[in-house]
Amino acid sequence: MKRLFGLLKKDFLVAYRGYFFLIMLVVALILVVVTNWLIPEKANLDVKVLYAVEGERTERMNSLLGFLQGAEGSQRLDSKSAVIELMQGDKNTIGVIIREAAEKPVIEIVLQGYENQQSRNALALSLSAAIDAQNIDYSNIENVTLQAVEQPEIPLNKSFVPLMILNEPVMLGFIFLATLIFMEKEENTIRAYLVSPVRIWEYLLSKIIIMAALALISTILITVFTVGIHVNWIMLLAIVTAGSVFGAASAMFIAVFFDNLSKAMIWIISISLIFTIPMAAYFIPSFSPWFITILPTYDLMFAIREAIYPAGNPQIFYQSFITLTIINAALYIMSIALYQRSLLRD
Amino acid sequence: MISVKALYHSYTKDESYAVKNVSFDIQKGEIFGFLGPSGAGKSTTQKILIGLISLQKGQVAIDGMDIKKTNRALFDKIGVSFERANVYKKLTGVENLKFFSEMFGVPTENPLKLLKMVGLEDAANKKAGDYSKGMLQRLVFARSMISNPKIWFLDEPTSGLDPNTTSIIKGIIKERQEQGTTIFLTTHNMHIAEVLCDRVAFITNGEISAIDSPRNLKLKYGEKLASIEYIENAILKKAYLSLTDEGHKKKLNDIISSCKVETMHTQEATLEEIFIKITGKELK
Ligand SMILES: Nc1ncnc2c1ncn2[C@@H]1O[C@H](COP(=O)(O)OP(=O)(O)OP(=O)(O)O)[C@@H](O)[C@H]1O
Ligand SMILES: [Mg+2]
Repeated sequence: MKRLFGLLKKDFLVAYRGYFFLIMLVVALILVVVTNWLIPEKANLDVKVLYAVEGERTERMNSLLGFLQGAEGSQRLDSKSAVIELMQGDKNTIGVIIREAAEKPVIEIVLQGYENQQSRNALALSLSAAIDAQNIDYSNIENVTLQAVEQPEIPLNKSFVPLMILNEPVMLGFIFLATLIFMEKEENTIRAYLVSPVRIWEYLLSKIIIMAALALISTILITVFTVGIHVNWIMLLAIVTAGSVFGAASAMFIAVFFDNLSKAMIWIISISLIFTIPMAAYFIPSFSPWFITILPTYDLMFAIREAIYPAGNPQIFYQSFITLTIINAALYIMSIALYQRSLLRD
Repeated sequence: MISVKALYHSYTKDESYAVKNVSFDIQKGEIFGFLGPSGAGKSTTQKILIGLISLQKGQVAIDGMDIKKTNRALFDKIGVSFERANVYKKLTGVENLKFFSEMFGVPTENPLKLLKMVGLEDAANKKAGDYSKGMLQRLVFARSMISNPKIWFLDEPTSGLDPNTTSIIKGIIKERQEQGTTIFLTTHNMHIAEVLCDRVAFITNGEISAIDSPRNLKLKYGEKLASIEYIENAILKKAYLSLTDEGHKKKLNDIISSCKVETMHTQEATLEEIFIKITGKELK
């Protein structure tokens, strides 16, 4: 215990004088500023509809035209070619061409080409609903909400917070730990331990604890100054601890294979990039190919979100926490064995 | 205290040995000097003894315990001063020692007292990153005493130090020996070896060629030398001549009878000369 405290004190001093805490604070501050003042609360992602009627305007088209007219930012043009011309200038538009054939309104939808199947379906549905509107008896419709609790809408800027918490405390821990270990390898101080009664597990554990502490401080700062204090703190701090230990233990594991930071750099950068790939899936939960979901940071990201914005899915937290704990234990035990061997390699 | 039998080590794990069939025994309270030129295998031997390199072949026992079977508590008894200074550059001198003192399970020395002993009291609160090479060397030396070790390994403790500091370090080593510490001292400084060591081992190319006390080595291999300065054909010349070698004796006679002798005195062979004589190698 005395040894572990000694190691902690030393690692803290080294990290402090290496400006780790300062860097962490500055990054947290930047993230808070970006969230609160730079990202808009609402992104204008609404698609504008350009529509035109070809041929005769008929009675049957009325409800549909009424619907299109009422849509925000919609615009009526004279012809299909005019619609297409305008669409080429503005990627945030779609076109709807209406004509009548065989006593029925026929709708042609002109797309930009990058819309996914879901939004195509949604568009088709809303158009057909508009056509049928006159035949629907609204009094017979019952609204069924799947979530019993009303979900408050998360402002766009605040919805980035879980991503920031994934990045700053977890990924910074990964990079800081690698720096710390290589600093000792280059100073060769690691040898000085080996001729003292220090155990490798104490040496490694102390570094992990410092990184977890850094991560927790930074998480608390970012959370309090962006989304406030109404989050599930136990869940958040637990998952961030597991995540930062994961970052630190991975760095520790990688560092054992290299003599100095420059040799390890390419690996450190590549692996931290791989760990951040799941962020691509954050705003599109349906985008979940296996090579993204197997990364521990994928579940971790959604577990952090669950802790901040509960969506009634706590099992993602348990799943991520347990998986990370198992991986962390394995990385830690392997690192102990590898460090013991590699230090005697010479 | 330290017993080494038929020790071999190859960095390349083949037949090219950095240490080859090395055997010696060090008694309690003895200062044992390990002398040899650069690359002789001194540091390699020391690293095996302190467990920084794993034992490939041979037997090593420290304080009666086979080093293959020891646990980490053994390191409570050992102090090591490294050849190249390895300290935390971001910590001050006193922080470095304080941190280290917390690693041991035995009562430790006061860091400030140790720094004072090696003349670093004024730099105690300066970051080690701002220390000069000699200061770092002294810091590592001071650190090796932090746990009051029973067995003390010193790898080139005085290399790169000025004569004044060197003599302070010599004094500390002598004092520790008087308190009963067993000392393994690696050096290529023959003068240090001569005044400090109870026994020395000569090592070249990984092999030991002689082990004895400096005095016995001198008696056995040393010979009286005459150093003579004389003028021959109006040129001042200098010669070292053995007083036991027949050829040298004849030359000496010739010089005295045919040249003008300026100075002449006899001197004892130094340990360095004996080293060269035994190993055929210079100590640099
Ligand atoms: N890590 C290493 N890997 C491979 N060879 C090494 C290594 N360390 C030392 N050697 C080689 O082993 C031999 C003995 O080296 P060692 O460091 O033991 O010499 P030394 O007697 O301590 O020399 P010095 O007086 O310069 O400190 C040398 O030939 C050296 O090149
Ligand atoms: Mg050496």
